[in-house]
Amino acid sequence: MAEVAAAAAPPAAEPAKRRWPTGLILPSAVLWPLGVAPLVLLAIVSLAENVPGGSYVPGFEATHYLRLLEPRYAGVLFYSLWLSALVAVIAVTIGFPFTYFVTRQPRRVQVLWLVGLMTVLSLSEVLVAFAWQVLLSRNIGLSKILVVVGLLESPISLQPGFGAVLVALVYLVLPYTFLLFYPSLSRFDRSLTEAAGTMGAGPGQQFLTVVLPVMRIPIFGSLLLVFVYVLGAYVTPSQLGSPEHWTVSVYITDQVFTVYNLPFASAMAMALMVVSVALVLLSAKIGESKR
Amino acid sequence: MAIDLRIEDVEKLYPGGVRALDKVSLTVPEGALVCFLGPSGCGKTTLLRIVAGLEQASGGRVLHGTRDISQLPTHERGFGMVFQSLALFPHLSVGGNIAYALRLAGVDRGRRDEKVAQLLDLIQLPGIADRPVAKLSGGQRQRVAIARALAQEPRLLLLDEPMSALDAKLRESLQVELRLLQKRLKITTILVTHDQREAMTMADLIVVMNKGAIEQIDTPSRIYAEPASLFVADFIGQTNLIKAEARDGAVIVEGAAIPGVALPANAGRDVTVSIRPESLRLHAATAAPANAIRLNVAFVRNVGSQVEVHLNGGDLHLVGSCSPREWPGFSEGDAVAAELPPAACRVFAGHG
Amino acid sequence: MTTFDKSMSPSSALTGKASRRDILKVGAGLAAAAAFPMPAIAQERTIKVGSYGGYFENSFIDNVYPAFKEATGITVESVTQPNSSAWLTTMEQATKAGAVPADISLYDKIAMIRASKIGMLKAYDLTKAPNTSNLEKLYLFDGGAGVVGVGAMSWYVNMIINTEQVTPAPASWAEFWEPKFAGKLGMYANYDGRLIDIAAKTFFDGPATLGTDEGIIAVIDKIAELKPNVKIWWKAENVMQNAMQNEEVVAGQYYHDVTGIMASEGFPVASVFPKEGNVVDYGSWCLSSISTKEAEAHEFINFCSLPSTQALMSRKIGTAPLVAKSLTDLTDEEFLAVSSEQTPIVPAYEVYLEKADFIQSTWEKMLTA
Repeated sequence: MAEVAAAAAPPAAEPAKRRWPTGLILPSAVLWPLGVAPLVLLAIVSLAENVPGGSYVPGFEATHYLRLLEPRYAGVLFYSLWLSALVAVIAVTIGFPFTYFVTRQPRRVQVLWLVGLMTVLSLSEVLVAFAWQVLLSRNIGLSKILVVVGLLESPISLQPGFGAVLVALVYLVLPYTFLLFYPSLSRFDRSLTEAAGTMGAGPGQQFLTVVLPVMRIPIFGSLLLVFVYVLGAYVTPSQLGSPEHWTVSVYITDQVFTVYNLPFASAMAMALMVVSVALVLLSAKIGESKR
Repeated sequence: MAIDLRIEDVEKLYPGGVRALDKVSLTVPEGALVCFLGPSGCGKTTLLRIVAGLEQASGGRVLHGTRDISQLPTHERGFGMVFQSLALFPHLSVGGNIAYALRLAGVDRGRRDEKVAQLLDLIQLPGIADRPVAKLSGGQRQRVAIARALAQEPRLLLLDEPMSALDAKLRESLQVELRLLQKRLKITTILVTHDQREAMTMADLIVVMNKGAIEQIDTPSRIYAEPASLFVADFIGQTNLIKAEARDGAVIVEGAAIPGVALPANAGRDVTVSIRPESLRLHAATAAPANAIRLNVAFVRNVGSQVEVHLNGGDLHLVGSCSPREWPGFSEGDAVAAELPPAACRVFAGHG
Repeated sequence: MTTFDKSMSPSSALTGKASRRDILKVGAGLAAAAAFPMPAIAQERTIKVGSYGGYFENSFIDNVYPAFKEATGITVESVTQPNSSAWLTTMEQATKAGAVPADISLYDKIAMIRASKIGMLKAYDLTKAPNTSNLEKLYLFDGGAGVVGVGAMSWYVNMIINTEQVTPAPASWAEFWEPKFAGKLGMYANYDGRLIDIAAKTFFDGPATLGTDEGIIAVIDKIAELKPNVKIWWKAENVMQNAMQNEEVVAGQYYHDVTGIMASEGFPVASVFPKEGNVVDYGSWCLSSISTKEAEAHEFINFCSLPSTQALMSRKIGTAPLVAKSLTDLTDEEFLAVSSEQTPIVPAYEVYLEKADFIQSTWEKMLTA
């Protein structure tokens, strides 16, 4: 559980009773204000009064939060959470067995994979979204290949759309899942699967009955990380999605850069944060009670 | 017909030309406990893993009864195995671990619980089925791992240094316990160890291995008394290795001729004499027999069950031992004479 | 290709290059100040001027600033702005902190009005910059206490088409609403992407209609009818450029000058001037309220208002001149590459400013419905 707690909420999750080594006091004294100050500012701005055509003035009003109660904002929030969860599940479903497979390769092959995935990681979200836009277009991309293979009669455009957003986001987070799983899977005690083998488990059963349950904590941690990462992504949904595929982050960005309503943008960000933290805590609770 | 396990000309080559096993052949008789013994890197674990199907041999074959199982995947062999790390599943309780194989085999819940209880009785840990594996002591984990390997009623039990993580006292008592259990169940067992004491305690047959090859296969007592090679003599128990010369059918040690010693067929001029500490006979220098070697007492230690004496003379260093009752009472610095009884000397070609 | 941002797209705000470069430059400046004796500094007159990073800024550095130095002896230290609105936020915080990264910033009209309302701008004394009289009056913005914005350049957001797929070229924006364009258009997704102004001009009474909430709703309802024809609602410039090049869309809204560059690279695209006109937008040079470089700033706007400078910018950067064509030496061909003699559609800036929340929220509802 320690690993998940660390991923979810670093120092806050530590039990108060535990005595802190004195060496940690200075870093935490620095990190706490640095971590909390932006949140406090965000909270303050979210209560400020917006001045149309100007900036905002300090205030204490719930206007912006009340506006969030409009059904369409709830819909956008729900959609964003759902998309994030879906991307997290797909990425982990692909990333985990893939990483398991890679850690079973010779050292040299592993290094090649690591280098390759690092390269993908170094690409910015803008570039990745742009590449998928080209790849999914009617004239250049995948669709042409599908026609040649005979799966399609004539090329079609596969973007913008939900599928395009989903594929690009999964592509974007896959290297992260690999990096998260790699250390624990390469340290994974192979005698566990070998023992299962001697007791009659074939490779598939070994994976399902031993590897998966033993690795449930890193898996849960990766799901959370990807979930939170996707919640914050806005380039991909705005470049590869139609307006109905935009996430809360796109709406927040619009409020900041085009409407210039910083209080409302802050209120949206606060709401997103509260809901996602609540969901994370809830799932951690469920995970714990299941053990 | 007995279902023996036969290993025929098994080889293991690693990429880069490392030869881990060099045409190894042996038979594990049904119901026996055979021990693969040797220093680390001798190939004993590789051989065990080939028997288990966890590794593929580069050549040769493994027969179980008359059936060639060389190509059979691990999970179809039905051999129970206890790993050096024990490999207990951390996500399952004690009961869950023991019942793992039964669950895979589709045994129903009631019969599984019954079997788990039965096995826990067998390892003398009744009633801990619900306990998490992490809460067990070292010895308990050890026994649970054995119970788990036995749950599927394996035709062959493979033990890969299963007691190396335990402290000496616990290890000794478990060795005896495990041997008794094995005899009671009459289960064919292979034990891999680098601990010759463990091998001597438990095995019907010991296979001494060195550098990927078998040095000797024999009963524990014969391995000790009649080592087939210099390596075996040195590796099993304590021994004195003395560089000597073979001349006219006798062996000359430090100028003293020992007649009537059996010389190996391939012996040249240079030979090595091996003699166990307890076979040395010590005399006061004044009463030295003709064929004795003159030495000085360097160090004496009395460990209670026996007295050990270290002797120096020129380049020669010998160790002798006897029971306290037989100890002549020399002290450090005394001049003594050591007699090598010909029947207790084993002679090997070369100077090792 | 170019990624310069005409203040409408937030895409380049992501790069964060501006701040890092600024820090480097400030650092270099401090180092220089420490290393050289005072007199050398006193002789060199400098001013920090912001412009949108990328092709746009580079063109200024290569072509305009050297000419300015030649004419006045003043060195321009170029400052990278990601766009107008994000830069406004940066400058707002910097002004509060008492030290700004740029003396003169380049703002679009909305950002300029906001900056003026917040009190971030210093009024110019136009008698010290007589050339500003060359500009059309509407490009001199008076925030209430004098002129705080002097027009820098303008740019057109046009109807563009794929010349192979769309023949003949549409004569009116209204044709975009016809079924022949079903699923074939690329339009700007932001509420202030000027589609509202286009629809108001094409189907209603122009800016007058946008004066009331009912008018705004009617215009946006009309745009809702366009939705089946729009395949891509773009936010970042490169998305539309890519979609045109790959023929994902065959027509839409896009920047006039970039369209020209695409055409010169061999893509079958062209700007079209329908009878209602295209949208013109412009940027202004605005002096920070806490700048100490007033004298240099006046020389800068004076220089930029010269017809010859306006022509230079048209040729080298692709912007439309803010002075009458007759004052410049631009040929017809050069002029038409960046501008039009047709009456343009001018965005209803005040409406966007006062009713931002209402328009945006109505627009968003329409778009995501």
